[in-house]
Amino acid sequence: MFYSSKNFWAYKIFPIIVGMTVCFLLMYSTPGQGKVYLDTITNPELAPFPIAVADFTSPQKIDGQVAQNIQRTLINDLEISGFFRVIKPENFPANAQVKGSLLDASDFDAWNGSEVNALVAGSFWVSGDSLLGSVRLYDLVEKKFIKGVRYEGKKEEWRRIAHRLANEVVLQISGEKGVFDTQIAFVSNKTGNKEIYLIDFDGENVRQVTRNKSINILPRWTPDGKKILYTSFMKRNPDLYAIDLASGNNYRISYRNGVNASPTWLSDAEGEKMILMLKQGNRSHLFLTKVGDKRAIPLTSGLNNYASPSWSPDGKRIAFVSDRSGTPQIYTMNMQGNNIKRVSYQGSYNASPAWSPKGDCIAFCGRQNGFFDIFLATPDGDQVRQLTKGPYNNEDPTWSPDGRYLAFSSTKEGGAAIYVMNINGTHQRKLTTLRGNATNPAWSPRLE
Amino acid sequence: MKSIRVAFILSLGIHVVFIGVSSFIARKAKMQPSFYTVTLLQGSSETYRGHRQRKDVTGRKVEKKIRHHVRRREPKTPKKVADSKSETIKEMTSSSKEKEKVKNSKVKSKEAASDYEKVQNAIAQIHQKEALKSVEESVAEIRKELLEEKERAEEENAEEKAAKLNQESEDATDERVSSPFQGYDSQEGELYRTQLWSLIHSQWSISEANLDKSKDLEVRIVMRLSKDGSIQDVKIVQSSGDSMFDNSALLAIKKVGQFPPFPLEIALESEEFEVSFVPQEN
Repeated sequence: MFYSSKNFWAYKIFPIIVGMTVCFLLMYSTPGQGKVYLDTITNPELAPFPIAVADFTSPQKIDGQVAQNIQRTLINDLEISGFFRVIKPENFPANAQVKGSLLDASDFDAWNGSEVNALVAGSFWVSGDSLLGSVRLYDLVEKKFIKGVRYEGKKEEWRRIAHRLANEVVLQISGEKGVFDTQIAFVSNKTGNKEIYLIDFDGENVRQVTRNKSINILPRWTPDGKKILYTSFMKRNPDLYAIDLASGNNYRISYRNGVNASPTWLSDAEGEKMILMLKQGNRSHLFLTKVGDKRAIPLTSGLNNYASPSWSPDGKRIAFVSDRSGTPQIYTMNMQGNNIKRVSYQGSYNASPAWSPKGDCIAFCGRQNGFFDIFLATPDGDQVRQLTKGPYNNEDPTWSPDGRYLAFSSTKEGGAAIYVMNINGTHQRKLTTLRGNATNPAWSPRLE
Repeated sequence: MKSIRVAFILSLGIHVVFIGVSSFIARKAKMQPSFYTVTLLQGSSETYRGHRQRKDVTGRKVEKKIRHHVRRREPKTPKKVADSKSETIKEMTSSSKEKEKVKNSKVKSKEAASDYEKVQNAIAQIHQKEALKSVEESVAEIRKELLEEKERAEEENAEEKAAKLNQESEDATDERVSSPFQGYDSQEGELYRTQLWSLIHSQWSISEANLDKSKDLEVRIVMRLSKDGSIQDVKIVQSSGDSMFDNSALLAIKKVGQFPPFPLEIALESEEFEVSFVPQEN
């Protein structure tokens, strides 16, 4: 042999095998099944989704008002969402006839070339105390019926029905349910005292929740959306209370000497848990408590202050504010109070962290040039984005349950009011128009 | 881009075939007992010719083969040759020159020999010169071969990397080859693809409120078209994670509704097209 067998294998056979294998992989791994790749499509036209909402009809003339109210509320919801351009009946194509909620195949043709993608048509009527309705959603692109929904409720619930209808439209078109029937809790001093209020997503339906004429601040929702936790001075010491929204009953749930405030609540397999800030003496620290357990387990300790906890949606980490580096900054830590990581670095004052429902970012407010603005950061702090900019304060961001909006309080028009914006900072709209200041917004979870 | 990929694959295929064929030839060559060819001369010319034959064939690790021969000739040749075991090609050349010198001296020492021997010597000298020439030639060739070898190895490396990359990108490359729409020489296919692209792009819109440009959104959609250009099936094969973004892309395809029929040159009943949507080019 002129070649040792080792060389033979290394230099002759091996490359052949490798070569053949690569060749086969490249050429014959998916015989027959061809797929053609187009170049990547980029830069879409920036335009909201055009949707037509036909007049909601009513069999009895007397109920026309309800049908109109629902239609108006639906149109408003879709418009303020920032995702839709609503085409109203007066702008329909001349020969587009929509009567009731039923569309014939021939009715679609009237929309040819109209650039409208979808159509909502419906009718509502009142029977005794109850409100009945039938709404259908049509796809004008593929010329087909998408979904029909029947509604039955009390007459005075028309607003809620309209919001739910808007939710359904968004679900059918975007694949994700809307948040039009959610509410935002906030603090207003309209009556001279700081009390908790609720307002609908569309800025309607304001109602007062607490009426104890002391100071009530920092509302937070329980995950089931049935109770609001808040800190009240009604018994002098700032204790933590829960109010049941259905019954109006108040419960005092934490009343250690000092401040009991800003709870973040989590329901998981272990039950209901809450992290809250307790301020005793000059220092505030974070404590973990479980429902039905009187103990409060300290998560932080030492000479610095820790405040404003916000649970990550997976329940594994907590965002909070601390002055451990000298100035108030945003940090995250695990459930044992360890593995602390800093999130915010710019500016000398960052506060009010709120972890997004999808877990991918943390909203907070930070001071720049003497004013607070809203920022978004990735939980590792690598990317930070400023959402608001103004010579006024924008504070206390709170997430909508679908993670598409942020509510915050702003002094844009003088007194503080609650605003809502899309999370890229666009479509800011003022929600509250109450006298005095509206602050401390807290967005509800989805309400079923 | 696509044509480059195709070119890559083709050239890789050619190389693979080349390696395969050349290695078969190499095996045949081994059977030739060229190293044992007996000559009148003691010179190493024949041996090196042998080398040349072998080396042509494999092109790989020529040095090692040379090393083998040197060892084999050890007992016959002066020590200097044996010493030149630390073989680079340069050393090979020098060692063979030394061998020649040794032979020359031998020739001189036999001046008193018969005419026949003189003639023989003269012939031998001529042969030696020829041998030297041929050695030099072969060395040059070996050098050339080695250079080529290096280049080829580099090429192969690059191709292997490219192949790996392609495979990593969802084993997509393999499929690309098999459609006439994708052929690098298919102008009709290229034109048709561009048509599809611009039709879909013209229909794609999304509300600004929903477009978070900071996020890396990408949705990939596969649609099957009949040869008349009608959509048989559309499905999302990789979601962007943002349902509104996904739906905006789906809607763009649906809004096109009817695509142009396949070019006549392309005789397919239907074909799958994959297209991905991203908000912004990076």
